[in-house]
Amino acid sequence: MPLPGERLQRIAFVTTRYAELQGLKLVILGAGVLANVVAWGLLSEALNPFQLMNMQAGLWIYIGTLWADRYYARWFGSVPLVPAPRFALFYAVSNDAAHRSVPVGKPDTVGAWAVFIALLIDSFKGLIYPGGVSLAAVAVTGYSVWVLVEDGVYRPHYLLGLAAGVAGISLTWAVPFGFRLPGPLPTAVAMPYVQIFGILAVALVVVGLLDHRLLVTAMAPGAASAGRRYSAPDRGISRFRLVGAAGSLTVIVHYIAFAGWPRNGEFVYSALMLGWMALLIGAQLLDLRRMRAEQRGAPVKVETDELPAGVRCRRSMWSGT
Amino acid sequence: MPLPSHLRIAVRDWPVRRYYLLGTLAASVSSIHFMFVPEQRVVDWAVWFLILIPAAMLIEGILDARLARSNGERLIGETHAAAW
Repeated sequence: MPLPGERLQRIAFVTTRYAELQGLKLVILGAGVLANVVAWGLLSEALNPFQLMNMQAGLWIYIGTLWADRYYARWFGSVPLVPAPRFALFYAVSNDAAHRSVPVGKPDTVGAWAVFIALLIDSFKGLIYPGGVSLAAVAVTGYSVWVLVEDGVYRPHYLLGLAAGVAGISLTWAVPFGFRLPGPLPTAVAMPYVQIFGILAVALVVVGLLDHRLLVTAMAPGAASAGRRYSAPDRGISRFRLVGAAGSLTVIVHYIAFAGWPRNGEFVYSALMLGWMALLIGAQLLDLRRMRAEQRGAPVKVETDELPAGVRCRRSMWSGT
Repeated sequence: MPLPSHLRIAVRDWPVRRYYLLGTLAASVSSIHFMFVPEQRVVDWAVWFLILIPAAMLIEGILDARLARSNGERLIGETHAAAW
Protein backbone atom coordinates (compact mmCIF):
# COMPACT_ATOMS: atom_id res chain seq x y z
CA MET A 1 0.00 0.00 0.00
CA PRO A 2 1.88 3.14 -1.15
CA LEU A 3 2.05 5.99 1.34
CA PRO A 4 4.17 9.13 1.69
CA GLY A 5 7.45 8.00 3.19
CA GLU A 6 8.10 10.97 5.46
CA ARG A 7 6.21 10.94 8.74
CA LEU A 8 5.13 14.57 8.39
CA GLN A 9 3.96 14.04 4.83
CA ARG A 10 2.01 11.00 5.93
CA ILE A 11 0.36 12.92 8.78
CA ALA A 12 -0.51 15.75 6.37
CA PHE A 13 -1.97 13.32 3.84
CA VAL A 14 -4.10 11.48 6.38
CA THR A 15 -5.21 14.70 8.07
CA THR A 16 -6.41 16.32 4.86
CA ARG A 17 -8.03 13.12 3.64
CA TYR A 18 -9.27 11.76 6.97
CA ALA A 19 -12.96 11.93 6.10
CA GLU A 20 -12.33 10.45 2.65
CA LEU A 21 -10.30 7.55 4.02
CA GLN A 22 -13.11 6.43 6.32
CA GLY A 23 -13.75 3.56 3.95
CA LEU A 24 -16.17 1.62 6.14
CA LYS A 25 -18.83 4.15 5.17
CA LEU A 26 -18.46 3.11 1.54
CA VAL A 27 -18.47 -0.53 2.64
CA ILE A 28 -21.76 -0.02 4.49
CA LEU A 29 -23.23 1.76 1.49
CA GLY A 30 -22.12 -1.06 -0.82
CA ALA A 31 -23.38 -3.75 1.55
CA GLY A 32 -26.78 -2.02 1.79
CA VAL A 33 -27.08 -1.87 -2.00
CA LEU A 34 -25.94 -5.49 -2.31
CA ALA A 35 -28.55 -6.56 0.26
CA ASN A 36 -31.17 -4.86 -1.90
CA VAL A 37 -30.04 -6.74 -5.00
CA VAL A 38 -30.06 -10.08 -3.13
CA ALA A 39 -33.49 -9.33 -1.60
CA TRP A 40 -34.88 -8.52 -5.05
CA GLY A 41 -33.52 -11.81 -6.41
CA LEU A 42 -34.87 -13.83 -3.47
CA LEU A 43 -38.30 -12.25 -3.08
CA SER A 44 -39.78 -11.83 -6.51
CA GLU A 45 -38.54 -10.32 -9.71
CA ALA A 46 -41.96 -8.73 -10.12
CA LEU A 47 -41.14 -6.35 -7.27
CA ASN A 48 -39.91 -2.89 -8.01
CA PRO A 49 -36.18 -2.80 -7.16
CA PHE A 50 -36.31 0.98 -6.67
CA GLN A 51 -38.94 0.56 -3.96
CA LEU A 52 -36.70 -1.90 -2.12
CA MET A 53 -33.73 0.42 -2.58
CA ASN A 54 -35.59 3.33 -0.99
CA MET A 55 -36.38 1.33 2.13
CA GLN A 56 -33.00 -0.37 2.41
CA ALA A 57 -30.93 2.68 1.66
CA GLY A 58 -32.61 4.81 4.28
CA LEU A 59 -32.34 2.26 7.04
CA TRP A 60 -29.03 0.52 6.41
CA ILE A 61 -27.04 3.48 5.46
CA TYR A 62 -28.33 5.81 8.12
CA ILE A 63 -27.69 3.32 10.93
CA GLY A 64 -24.39 2.27 9.39
CA THR A 65 -23.08 5.79 8.96
CA LEU A 66 -23.89 6.68 12.56
CA TRP A 67 -22.04 3.58 13.70
CA ALA A 68 -19.06 4.27 11.41
CA ASP A 69 -18.77 7.86 12.68
CA ARG A 70 -18.52 6.62 16.23
CA TYR A 71 -16.15 3.84 15.26
CA TYR A 72 -13.67 6.21 13.62
CA ALA A 73 -13.97 8.80 16.38
CA ARG A 74 -13.37 6.11 18.99
CA TRP A 75 -10.35 4.48 17.38
CA PHE A 76 -8.71 7.29 15.41
CA GLY A 77 -10.03 10.47 17.00
CA SER A 78 -11.04 13.54 15.07
CA VAL A 79 -9.13 16.04 12.97
CA PRO A 80 -9.03 19.58 14.40
CA LEU A 81 -11.11 21.93 12.28
CA VAL A 82 -9.06 23.80 9.72
CA PRO A 83 -9.93 26.68 7.40
CA ALA A 84 -11.48 25.46 4.18
CA PRO A 85 -10.82 27.99 1.42
CA ARG A 86 -12.67 26.03 -1.22
CA PHE A 87 -16.43 25.86 -0.64
CA ALA A 88 -15.87 28.12 2.37
CA LEU A 89 -19.39 29.55 2.20
CA PHE A 90 -20.96 26.09 2.25
CA TYR A 91 -18.89 25.00 5.23
CA ALA A 92 -19.50 28.26 7.03
CA VAL A 93 -23.25 27.80 6.65
CA SER A 94 -23.22 24.12 7.55
CA ASN A 95 -21.04 24.66 10.64
CA ASP A 96 -22.73 27.87 11.72
CA ALA A 97 -19.23 29.30 12.06
CA ALA A 98 -20.31 32.93 11.92
CA HIS A 99 -21.87 32.67 15.35
CA ARG A 100 -19.12 30.71 16.98
CA SER A 101 -15.99 32.34 15.52
CA VAL A 102 -14.22 29.03 15.17
CA PRO A 103 -12.37 27.68 12.16
CA VAL A 104 -14.43 25.60 9.80
CA GLY A 105 -13.69 22.20 8.35
CA LYS A 106 -15.02 19.48 6.11
CA PRO A 107 -18.38 18.23 7.33
CA ASP A 108 -18.18 14.62 6.25
CA THR A 109 -17.06 12.08 3.71
CA VAL A 110 -17.90 13.83 0.47
CA GLY A 111 -17.57 10.76 -1.76
CA ALA A 112 -19.84 8.47 0.25
CA TRP A 113 -22.49 11.18 0.60
CA ALA A 114 -22.40 12.08 -3.10
CA VAL A 115 -22.91 8.43 -4.08
CA PHE A 116 -25.60 7.99 -1.43
CA ILE A 117 -27.56 11.03 -2.61
CA ALA A 118 -27.24 9.96 -6.25
CA LEU A 119 -28.52 6.53 -5.26
CA LEU A 120 -31.52 8.05 -3.49
CA ILE A 121 -32.30 10.25 -6.52
CA ASP A 122 -32.03 7.16 -8.74
CA SER A 123 -34.43 5.27 -6.46
CA PHE A 124 -37.06 8.03 -6.27
CA LYS A 125 -36.79 8.76 -9.96
CA GLY A 126 -37.09 5.06 -10.75
CA LEU A 127 -40.45 4.90 -8.98
CA ILE A 128 -42.02 7.50 -11.24
CA TYR A 129 -39.86 8.01 -14.30
CA PRO A 130 -37.48 5.04 -14.79
CA GLY A 131 -34.99 4.99 -17.61
CA GLY A 132 -31.82 6.68 -18.71
CA VAL A 133 -28.35 6.80 -17.26
CA SER A 134 -28.02 5.87 -13.59
CA LEU A 135 -26.97 8.86 -11.50
CA ALA A 136 -25.31 6.54 -9.00
CA ALA A 137 -23.03 5.24 -11.75
CA VAL A 138 -22.24 8.82 -12.78
CA ALA A 139 -21.48 9.74 -9.15
CA VAL A 140 -19.18 6.74 -8.69
CA THR A 141 -17.40 7.59 -11.95
CA GLY A 142 -17.01 11.25 -11.03
CA TYR A 143 -15.80 10.53 -7.51
CA SER A 144 -13.34 7.90 -8.75
CA VAL A 145 -11.91 10.33 -11.31
CA TRP A 146 -11.55 12.99 -8.61
CA VAL A 147 -9.73 10.56 -6.31
CA LEU A 148 -7.47 9.31 -9.10
CA VAL A 149 -6.54 12.87 -10.10
CA GLU A 150 -5.94 14.05 -6.51
CA ASP A 151 -4.55 10.90 -4.84
CA GLY A 152 -3.99 8.46 -7.68
CA VAL A 153 -0.55 7.52 -6.39
CA TYR A 154 -1.86 6.40 -3.01
CA ARG A 155 -5.34 5.25 -3.94
CA PRO A 156 -5.03 3.50 -7.32
CA HIS A 157 -7.79 1.08 -6.31
CA TYR A 158 -10.27 3.71 -7.48
CA LEU A 159 -9.58 2.38 -10.97
CA LEU A 160 -12.04 -0.33 -9.93
CA GLY A 161 -14.61 2.32 -8.99
CA LEU A 162 -14.03 4.02 -12.33
CA ALA A 163 -14.49 0.74 -14.22
CA ALA A 164 -17.69 -0.05 -12.28
CA GLY A 165 -19.05 3.46 -12.88
CA VAL A 166 -18.31 3.35 -16.61
CA ALA A 167 -19.89 -0.12 -16.84
CA GLY A 168 -22.96 1.25 -15.05
CA ILE A 169 -23.25 4.20 -17.43
CA SER A 170 -22.90 2.02 -20.50
CA LEU A 171 -25.45 -0.55 -19.25
CA THR A 172 -28.13 2.04 -18.54
CA TRP A 173 -27.35 4.40 -21.40
CA ALA A 174 -29.98 2.98 -23.75
CA VAL A 175 -32.75 2.17 -21.24
CA PRO A 176 -35.84 4.03 -22.49
CA PHE A 177 -37.61 6.57 -20.27
CA GLY A 178 -41.29 6.25 -19.37
CA PHE A 179 -43.73 7.69 -16.82
CA ARG A 180 -45.35 5.11 -14.58
CA LEU A 181 -46.99 4.66 -11.20
CA PRO A 182 -45.32 2.79 -8.34
CA GLY A 183 -45.78 -0.96 -8.50
CA PRO A 184 -44.20 -3.87 -10.34
CA LEU A 185 -41.62 -2.89 -12.93
CA PRO A 186 -41.06 -4.96 -16.09
CA THR A 187 -37.98 -7.11 -15.65
CA ALA A 188 -36.56 -5.81 -18.94
CA VAL A 189 -36.47 -2.29 -17.46
CA ALA A 190 -35.49 -3.33 -13.94
CA MET A 191 -32.71 -5.75 -14.85
CA PRO A 192 -30.06 -3.26 -16.09
CA TYR A 193 -30.45 -1.21 -12.90
CA VAL A 194 -30.27 -4.28 -10.67
CA GLN A 195 -27.14 -5.39 -12.54
CA ILE A 196 -25.40 -2.05 -12.17
CA PHE A 197 -26.44 -1.77 -8.51
CA GLY A 198 -24.75 -5.14 -7.97
CA ILE A 199 -21.60 -4.06 -9.83
CA LEU A 200 -21.42 -0.71 -8.04
CA ALA A 201 -22.04 -2.36 -4.66
CA VAL A 202 -19.14 -4.78 -5.06
CA ALA A 203 -16.86 -1.97 -6.23
CA LEU A 204 -17.86 0.23 -3.27
CA VAL A 205 -17.19 -2.58 -0.79
CA VAL A 206 -13.74 -3.25 -2.28
CA VAL A 207 -12.57 0.38 -2.55
CA GLY A 208 -14.01 1.11 0.91
CA LEU A 209 -12.07 -1.76 2.47
CA LEU A 210 -8.88 -0.64 0.72
CA ASP A 211 -9.41 2.96 1.88
CA HIS A 212 -9.89 1.72 5.44
CA ARG A 213 -6.74 -0.37 5.14
CA LEU A 214 -4.85 2.68 3.91
CA LEU A 215 -6.02 4.69 6.92
CA VAL A 216 -5.05 1.91 9.33
CA THR A 217 -1.64 1.54 7.69
CA ALA A 218 -1.03 5.27 7.83
CA MET A 219 -2.04 5.50 11.48
CA ALA A 220 -0.06 2.46 12.58
CA PRO A 221 2.84 1.90 10.16
CA GLY A 222 3.71 -1.77 9.93
CA ALA A 223 0.38 -2.95 11.29
CA ALA A 224 -0.85 -4.23 7.96
CA SER A 225 2.34 -6.08 7.15
CA ALA A 226 3.00 -7.39 10.63
CA GLY A 227 2.64 -11.04 11.36
CA ARG A 228 0.17 -12.66 13.68
CA ARG A 229 -1.83 -10.23 15.82
CA TYR A 230 -4.56 -10.50 18.37
CA SER A 231 -7.21 -7.88 18.63
CA ALA A 232 -9.58 -6.97 21.40
CA PRO A 233 -13.18 -6.90 20.20
CA ASP A 234 -14.45 -3.41 19.54
CA ARG A 235 -17.30 -2.69 21.94
CA GLY A 236 -19.27 -0.69 19.41
CA ILE A 237 -19.09 -3.41 16.77
CA SER A 238 -19.93 -6.11 19.31
CA ARG A 239 -22.95 -4.13 20.49
CA PHE A 240 -24.04 -3.39 16.90
CA ARG A 241 -23.76 -7.07 15.95
CA LEU A 242 -25.50 -8.19 19.12
CA VAL A 243 -28.43 -5.79 18.78
CA GLY A 244 -28.83 -6.38 15.02
CA ALA A 245 -28.78 -10.17 15.40
CA ALA A 246 -31.09 -10.13 18.43
CA GLY A 247 -33.52 -7.83 16.59
CA SER A 248 -33.62 -10.03 13.47
CA LEU A 249 -33.99 -13.19 15.50
CA THR A 250 -36.78 -11.70 17.63
CA VAL A 251 -38.72 -10.65 14.54
CA ILE A 252 -38.43 -13.98 12.75
CA VAL A 253 -39.19 -16.07 15.85
CA HIS A 254 -42.25 -13.97 16.68
CA TYR A 255 -43.39 -14.15 13.06
CA ILE A 256 -43.22 -17.95 13.14
CA ALA A 257 -44.85 -18.10 16.57
CA PHE A 258 -47.83 -15.93 15.62
CA ALA A 259 -48.27 -16.41 11.87
CA GLY A 260 -46.77 -19.86 11.30
CA TRP A 261 -43.98 -20.82 8.94
CA PRO A 262 -43.65 -18.06 6.33
CA ARG A 263 -44.87 -18.89 2.83
CA ASN A 264 -44.59 -15.39 1.42
CA GLY A 265 -41.15 -13.78 1.42
CA GLU A 266 -42.56 -10.28 1.12
CA PHE A 267 -44.31 -10.52 4.51
CA VAL A 268 -41.07 -11.64 6.18
CA TYR A 269 -39.22 -8.81 4.49
CA SER A 270 -41.78 -6.25 5.66
CA ALA A 271 -41.69 -7.62 9.22
CA LEU A 272 -37.89 -7.37 9.25
CA MET A 273 -37.97 -3.82 7.94
CA LEU A 274 -40.47 -2.82 10.65
CA GLY A 275 -38.29 -4.47 13.29
CA TRP A 276 -35.19 -2.64 12.11
CA MET A 277 -37.09 0.63 12.01
CA ALA A 278 -38.07 0.07 15.65
CA LEU A 279 -34.41 -0.54 16.45
CA LEU A 280 -33.44 2.65 14.65
CA ILE A 281 -36.02 4.70 16.55
CA GLY A 282 -34.87 3.16 19.83
CA ALA A 283 -31.23 3.99 19.03
CA GLN A 284 -32.18 7.57 18.16
CA LEU A 285 -34.10 7.99 21.42
CA LEU A 286 -31.04 6.80 23.34
CA ASP A 287 -28.85 9.24 21.40
CA LEU A 288 -31.29 12.05 22.12
CA ARG A 289 -31.18 11.28 25.82
CA ARG A 290 -27.40 11.26 25.71
CA MET A 291 -27.30 14.63 23.90
CA ARG A 292 -29.69 16.18 26.41
CA ALA A 293 -27.53 14.91 29.26
CA GLU A 294 -24.48 16.46 27.59
CA GLN A 295 -26.28 19.79 27.16
CA ARG A 296 -27.30 19.81 30.80
CA GLY A 297 -23.69 19.15 31.74
CA ALA A 298 -24.55 15.92 33.47
CA PRO A 299 -21.77 13.34 33.66
CA VAL A 300 -21.99 11.25 30.52
CA LYS A 301 -20.32 7.95 29.97
CA VAL A 302 -17.45 8.78 27.60
CA GLU A 303 -16.46 5.80 25.53
CA THR A 304 -12.87 6.95 25.02
CA ASP A 305 -12.33 6.62 28.76
CA GLU A 306 -13.02 2.97 28.40
CA LEU A 307 -10.19 2.59 25.97
CA PRO A 308 -6.78 1.54 27.15
CA ALA A 309 -3.79 3.83 27.21
CA GLY A 310 -2.40 2.81 23.80
CA VAL A 311 -5.48 3.93 21.97
CA ARG A 312 -5.79 7.19 23.88
CA CYS A 313 -2.19 7.95 22.89
CA ARG A 314 -3.07 7.43 19.26
CA ARG A 315 -6.01 9.77 19.59
CA SER A 316 -3.85 12.45 21.14
CA MET A 317 -1.66 12.57 18.03
CA TRP A 318 -4.34 14.66 16.35
CA SER A 319 -6.73 16.02 18.86
CA GLY A 320 -4.24 17.10 21.49
CA THR A 321 -6.35 15.51 24.23
CA MET B 1 -20.68 -12.61 3.05
CA PRO B 2 -20.50 -13.86 6.70
CA LEU B 3 -18.43 -16.91 5.74
CA PRO B 4 -15.08 -15.24 4.87
CA SER B 5 -15.37 -12.43 7.40
CA HIS B 6 -16.10 -14.73 10.34
CA LEU B 7 -13.46 -17.23 9.28
CA ARG B 8 -10.95 -14.41 9.00
CA ILE B 9 -11.64 -13.23 12.55
CA ALA B 10 -11.47 -16.80 13.90
CA VAL B 11 -8.12 -17.43 12.20
CA ARG B 12 -6.67 -13.99 12.98
CA ASP B 13 -7.51 -14.09 16.66
CA TRP B 14 -7.17 -17.82 17.28
CA PRO B 15 -7.72 -19.10 19.95
CA VAL B 16 -9.03 -16.02 21.76
CA ARG B 17 -12.02 -15.58 19.44
CA ARG B 18 -12.36 -19.13 18.17
CA TYR B 19 -16.10 -18.89 18.70
CA TYR B 20 -16.27 -17.10 15.35
CA LEU B 21 -16.09 -20.59 13.86
CA LEU B 22 -19.74 -20.77 14.87
CA GLY B 23 -20.61 -18.03 12.36
CA THR B 24 -18.42 -19.73 9.77
CA LEU B 25 -20.22 -23.02 10.40
CA ALA B 26 -23.66 -21.38 10.20
CA ALA B 27 -22.78 -19.64 6.93
CA SER B 28 -21.33 -22.88 5.50
CA VAL B 29 -24.46 -24.84 6.40
CA SER B 30 -26.59 -22.10 4.85
CA SER B 31 -24.51 -22.06 1.66
CA ILE B 32 -24.73 -25.84 1.28
CA HIS B 33 -28.47 -25.72 1.98
CA PHE B 34 -28.86 -23.10 -0.76
CA MET B 35 -27.23 -25.40 -3.33
CA PHE B 36 -29.88 -28.06 -2.79
CA VAL B 37 -33.00 -25.96 -2.32
CA PRO B 38 -35.49 -25.98 -5.21
CA GLU B 39 -36.42 -22.60 -6.66
CA GLN B 40 -40.01 -22.68 -5.42
CA ARG B 41 -38.82 -23.19 -1.83
CA VAL B 42 -36.28 -20.40 -1.73
CA VAL B 43 -38.31 -18.62 0.99
CA ASP B 44 -37.72 -21.60 3.27
CA TRP B 45 -34.01 -21.23 2.72
CA ALA B 46 -34.20 -17.48 3.44
CA VAL B 47 -36.06 -18.11 6.72
CA TRP B 48 -33.52 -20.72 7.82
CA PHE B 49 -30.77 -18.27 6.88
CA LEU B 50 -32.45 -15.59 8.98
CA ILE B 51 -32.57 -17.97 11.94
CA LEU B 52 -29.12 -19.54 11.65
CA ILE B 53 -26.94 -16.50 10.97
CA PRO B 54 -28.46 -14.11 13.54
CA ALA B 55 -28.40 -16.93 16.15
CA ALA B 56 -24.67 -17.46 15.51
CA MET B 57 -24.02 -13.71 15.53
CA LEU B 58 -25.97 -13.31 18.75
CA ILE B 59 -23.77 -15.87 20.51
CA GLU B 60 -20.63 -14.30 19.03
CA GLY B 61 -21.76 -10.86 20.13
CA ILE B 62 -22.42 -12.04 23.70
CA LEU B 63 -19.03 -13.76 23.89
CA ASP B 64 -17.35 -10.69 22.37
CA ALA B 65 -18.98 -8.45 24.96
CA ARG B 66 -17.82 -10.79 27.72
CA LEU B 67 -14.31 -10.84 26.28
CA ALA B 68 -14.26 -7.04 25.99
CA ARG B 69 -15.24 -6.76 29.64
CA SER B 70 -12.86 -9.33 31.03
CA ASN B 71 -9.84 -9.43 28.75
CA GLY B 72 -10.00 -6.28 26.66
CA GLU B 73 -7.36 -4.45 28.61
CA ARG B 74 -4.96 -7.35 28.44
CA LEU B 75 -5.29 -7.80 24.70
CA ILE B 76 -4.94 -4.23 23.69
CA GLY B 77 -1.74 -2.73 22.27
CA GLU B 78 -2.83 -4.72 19.27
CA THR B 79 -6.06 -2.85 18.80
CA HIS B 80 -9.07 -3.89 16.82
CA ALA B 81 -8.46 -1.32 14.13
CA ALA B 82 -4.77 -1.99 13.87
CA ALA B 83 -5.06 -5.71 13.43
CA TRP B 84 -5.58 -5.83 9.73
